[in-house]
Amino acid sequence: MATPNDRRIVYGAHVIPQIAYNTTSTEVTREEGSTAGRASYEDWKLDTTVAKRFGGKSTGDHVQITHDQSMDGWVSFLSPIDQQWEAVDNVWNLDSTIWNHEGLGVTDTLSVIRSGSDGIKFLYIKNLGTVQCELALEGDERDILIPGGAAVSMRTNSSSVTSATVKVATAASSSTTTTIEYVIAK
Amino acid sequence: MAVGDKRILYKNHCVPQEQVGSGDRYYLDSDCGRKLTGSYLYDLDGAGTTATSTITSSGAIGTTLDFIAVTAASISSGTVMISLDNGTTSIIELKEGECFASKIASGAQPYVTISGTASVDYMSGT
Repeated sequence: MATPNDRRIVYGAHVIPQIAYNTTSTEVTREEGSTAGRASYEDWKLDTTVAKRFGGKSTGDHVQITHDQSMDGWVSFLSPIDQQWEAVDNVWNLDSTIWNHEGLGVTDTLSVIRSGSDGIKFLYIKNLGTVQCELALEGDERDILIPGGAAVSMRTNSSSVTSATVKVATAASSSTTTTIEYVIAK
Repeated sequence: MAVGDKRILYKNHCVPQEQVGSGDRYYLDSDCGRKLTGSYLYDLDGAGTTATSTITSSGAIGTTLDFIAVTAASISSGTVMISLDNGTTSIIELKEGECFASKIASGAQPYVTISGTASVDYMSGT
């Protein structure tokens, strides 16, 4: 397939710190003894310590990545056009084909996601399982944690983060596994 | 829950895009095929959050933290980098308006390096 004229990634993050509080009761007792309004109950509101929401989004050129990623493995998805036509026996006009969410299995041993040693400009990882995933971007220090359902997205420093340094695992020696989806772009 | 309990809801998302020809519009990248997002509701086990802080020069965010959110509020010149080893190796870059938010290992040592003129907001959870 032809290499696109341009490739970029729009990304963002949003954080809402919350604290539990008692709402103000609006309950009143009427002349006949029945009540109206709502008694106090516990609810969540914006954390008064932090006192603001956090968040941000890329703008302008967003994250410019290399137009030719050289391999399909820079994302964990399998495009329908990536399938080997000669290996498929389906009747195509009767077959509905979509992008598959292949995912990547993760064990308790640190392993690289993308082969090679290219500098990485952008990284997105979502944990599809329930066991927490750990991410190391330099050395074997599992500094970034990704609980089940969570994701991380970041503009990585391609001078220090390379294909060879991005590693994932579950907790060391836990004998647990999970599955991730990812975008790892040079 | 009890009054005073704290939790942090955070979401990260991205949209890979490709442009077929010069001047054309951008479409979802055909290698990926969709928008990507993940969210998590992190209950802080009886611990707390820090008040929002703003820094304009390089410095540590804190120690023994379990969650950080860092936003490059403004960048007039230079770069804003984040490391998780007390400034030795910068691994994440923030352009103006971008935010990094994630759970981190309590042994990580988040540090923001500002080279130039910038203002960075951050909060943390323990």
